[in-house]
This record gives sequence, structure tokens and C-alpha cells, in this order.
Amino acid sequence: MFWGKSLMVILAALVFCCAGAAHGRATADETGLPGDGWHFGFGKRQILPDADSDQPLYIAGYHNGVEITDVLDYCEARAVWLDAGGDGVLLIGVDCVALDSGVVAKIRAALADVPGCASVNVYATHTHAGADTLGLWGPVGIDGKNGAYMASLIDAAVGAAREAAAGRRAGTLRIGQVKTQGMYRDSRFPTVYDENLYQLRAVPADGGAGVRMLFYGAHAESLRGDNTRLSRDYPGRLCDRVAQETGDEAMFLPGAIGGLIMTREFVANMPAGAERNMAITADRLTDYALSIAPESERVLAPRMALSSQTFVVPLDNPVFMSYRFLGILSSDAVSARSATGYGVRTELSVLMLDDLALTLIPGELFPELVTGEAYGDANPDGVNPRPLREIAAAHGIGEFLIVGLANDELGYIVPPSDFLLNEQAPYLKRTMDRRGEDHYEETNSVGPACAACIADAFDAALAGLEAATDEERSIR
Amino acid sequence: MKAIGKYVRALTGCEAVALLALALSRWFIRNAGQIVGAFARSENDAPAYAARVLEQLRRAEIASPWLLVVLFGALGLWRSGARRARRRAGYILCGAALFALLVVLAVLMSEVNSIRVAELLRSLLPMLRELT
Repeated sequence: MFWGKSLMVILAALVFCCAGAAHGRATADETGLPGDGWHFGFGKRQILPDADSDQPLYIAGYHNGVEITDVLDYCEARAVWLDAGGDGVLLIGVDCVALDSGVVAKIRAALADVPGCASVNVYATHTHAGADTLGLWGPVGIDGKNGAYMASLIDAAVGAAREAAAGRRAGTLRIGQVKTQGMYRDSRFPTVYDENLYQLRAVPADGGAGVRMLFYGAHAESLRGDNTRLSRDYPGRLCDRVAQETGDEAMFLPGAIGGLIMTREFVANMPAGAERNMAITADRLTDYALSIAPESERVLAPRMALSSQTFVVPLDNPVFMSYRFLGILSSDAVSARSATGYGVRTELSVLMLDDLALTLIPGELFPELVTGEAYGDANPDGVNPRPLREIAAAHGIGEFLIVGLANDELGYIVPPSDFLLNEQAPYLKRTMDRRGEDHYEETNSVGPACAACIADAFDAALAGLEAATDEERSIR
Repeated sequence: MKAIGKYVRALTGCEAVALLALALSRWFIRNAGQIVGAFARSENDAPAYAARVLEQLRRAEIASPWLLVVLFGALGLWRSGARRARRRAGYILCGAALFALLVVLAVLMSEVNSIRVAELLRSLLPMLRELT
């Protein structure tokens, strides 16, 4: 149907497999770790603005050309190393609005010498109180990134990742979840979201501090659009408080946050009460996270595999194209059949931790594209792809978690059946449908073909894992 | 030998002209901000803002259309076989027009930060027309 689909290429199937495989043992021996079992490490670094920089530091996520005026809390890069006795992966979370593949490539290049590292994955927590790291929130058409801040961000990501890789130790891995209530606000029809807060907990065998990875599907914008203070927003306070209460380190991972899922306002006096609103949001989520009882967690067997798909998404958005032309966006543009004649080469990865699939999506996925339970219908000609849950089930995967804004940023990934553009200025001006629903998200998307490309890449990634698992069985 | 020399001269001349056009096209792209800025009457008018936007192209990665050099060389070879133009003035005028056209083509076919200028204009012009 789309050229992007036909271009879909498997670049890497299984990178590394179950503990006990010959390759895994060799790597484990090299790093001096036991051959079987989970190993994990954690690292974190602050991203500090350069006070001497003559470039402005714009706040990202809402309006163009708004400078950061103060600091509530500094953004950070947090990284976790995971392996199951063989080669490992690094998962680096950066407190920022998003990172495109050009920046991710720089972080990967700087970590190319980490021994036994099969894959480096970088995601953004999507804080809307962070500095502009994409370049889209400077004055219109002008790069909003601050060069010194970007250098600090890359240094922090690399430093945190090296610390995580160097500090790896043996332990167990557990998955738990809790249903949150009254936390969400879905600003666009239909109301679809995953209310669960998921916790992937690494528990060290030596009894020391563990690592809690907290997955939640809401925009980090509890400070809202009038805020001009630099902050990690609620994910920062959530991680800090979980760390205080448990002694473990914590990191936040955004789920399927498109369409547009955010947390509610818990105070009446916004914008004055923004900081209080953020504190309430984080504290409630902390209480939820702490309520996950150890006995309710499921222990994951030390088996790990990764499948990555590189594919091209048609780039129909001429505004994104212009930003690439001006050198503001550094995503990978290639010739493709689309409205602009270009596509964006991007990637999707599935990291299997035992039978749990972490799906790294390069953008802000609408939750309905995961569940398939209800779609908007502003565009009757649009055909939605199979929901990810259905694709996962077809591959025998029952449980999977989304990690949004991972390794690239394609913007919102909108269901084709609800993809509506302003006729006069598509992608430049937003429009309303017959229900009066605002179709803002389309202006920040690559185009209607993106959802199908993501579904196809997910399908191909899982197929790659199946093929590799068969291969692994034959080794045994 | 004389005939071969004629072809070599024509080919070299045309290639040199085409290379000059390519170099000029790169200069135009890199200095687009400065060129547009020359039309600004105040610091805050539209040309001044456009100049700020285009100023970012100074650091752009530019891939020039080398095919133009090859094609122009082929054109030179073909023309060297034709009769010499009788009017020198007309010849120079045609040559200048052709050179200008070559520069415009080189700009349009250049890839700036992986995006071809012609494709960008094709995508943006309908939208800009609607907005103005």
C-alpha cells in the first residue's frame, strides 16, 4: 500500500539471545560475570546549561521562541544496563522533549567501545519543561537548540551509560503493575489510554540498591504551557521520591502518549499552582508505584533477545521537510514516494525480557493503535493498520510495554481513520472536525502512512525474533 | 589531430563553465541569507526575518548535481561539431543566458541537507500561495 512498507528491510534480527548460548558465555567470561542470570547496572548524570553560552535556551513543547527563565530542577540522563549473561543492551532515558536519530547516532558513536554492548537505545521522557532538543521551538524557522546544552546532553547520556555498563551486577528482574485512577486527561476523541503504571524492577543479589523502571503513558506536562522554568516535570519528582522511599534508583519511561494523553490538573489555580500540580501528580504516582507489592510481581527468567527494524516512513509534512532542509532536524531523510518526495529512515526495536516485549517506538503513538478498541473517524477514507496488541498476539506475545520517543522522533503517530488536515495550510495550521475536535496532532506528524509503517515494522521485528529463536534452539 | 583538439577544447571549456555554475550555485545557497537580507528595510521586516532563517544554510551540507557537468560537457561536444556562430554578440548573449540557466538549474537540483531545492519549492509553494 505504501512505498515505505515495501522498503521495509530487516537490518538486524536477533542481536543476542538466551543466557547459556555459546556467544553469551564468551562475553560473560570477558566481563568477568557469571554465565547465567540477569545483570544490570545504573548510571545518571545531570544535563547542565552553559551559563556562558550566547545562544538562548528555549523551552520546548508549547510555544515558539519562549526562553527558559529559571530552574526548578535540572534535567538528567539516566541509563540502565541489562544482560542475561551474554551481550547486553543500554537503555538511556533523557529528560527532554525528544531526540531525533541524528542525536541518537552521536550518542551511539560515543558508546561504540563499551565491551559486550549489543545495542544502545535512547529515549526521551518527553518533558515539556525541558530545553528545546529538536530545534522546533525557537522562533519559527530558526533552530531552537542551544549548542552547548546539546553537547552537555550528549555528554550526560554517554556518562550515565558508561556508569551503568561499568557497574553491572547480578540480580533478578521482576515485572509488576498497578491500575491508576483519576490520573489521566485524554484531550482528543476517543478516550483510550492504558491506566496502568508498570514497574520493571531489577533486584540485586548482593542486597544493595536496585533499579525501578516506571512505565506510564502520559505526557510529562503537569507544569503546563505557561511554565518557563527548566524541569523534568512529574517524572523527575516521581523518580526522586521512589528513590527516597525505597533506596532504589528509578527511571521513567513514557508509554503510548499520543492522542493526546496527559495527566489531569489537580489544582484550580493554574498557572500559579503549576509546581503544586506537578508535585501532586508525581506524589500520587509515587504512591501507586510503592503500592506494587513484591509478591504481586512476576519474576522474569534470564532470557533476552533484541530485534531491530530499519524502515522508511513517507514524509508528507512539508514543514518537517523545511526544518530538515534548514539543518534544524537531523533525522535521516531519503528519497521516497510521498507528498514531498522524501521519507524518514527510522527504526523500531523489540527487546524481549523473558516473555515480556519492550517495544521501542520512534514517536508518540496513539493508544488506540495499540489496543484497537476505538478510533476517531474524521477521515472515512483512512484505513487503520492492525493494532499492535493483535499483531503481538499473532506472534504469541501476551504482554508488551511501549517505550515511546525511542531512538527517533516522528511526532504523533495518528490513526489514518482520524487523520484530518487543514485544507488551506496542511501541516501548518490545525483544523477542527465535525465534532469540534481539534486535530492539532497532525501538524506534528510525518503523515498518515506512519501508523501502518509502525505496525508493519512491529510485525517484522517479532517475526525476526521468532526466526532467531528457532536458530537459537538449533544451537542448543 | 586538429579535429580532436577542437573537441577537447570544447569539452574542457564546457566542463569549466559548468563547474563555475556549480560553484556559483553553492555560493548562492550558502549566502542566501545575506542576499535576501539585502532587501530588508528594517531589522524586523519580512526580508530581514527570511534572511535570519536562510542564514542557517551557511553551515548546510550541499550535494551539487554533478550530472549537470557531464550533460553540459556532452552539449559542448555536440555543439563543437556545428558551424561557428556568425554573430559574436549573439553568441555571447546566448552563452550568458545559458550560463544563467545553468546556475538556476544547479541551485534547483542541489541537495541541501539531503533535501533537493526543487522538491522543497514544489512542496511549499502551493501552501504559501494559499496563505498569501
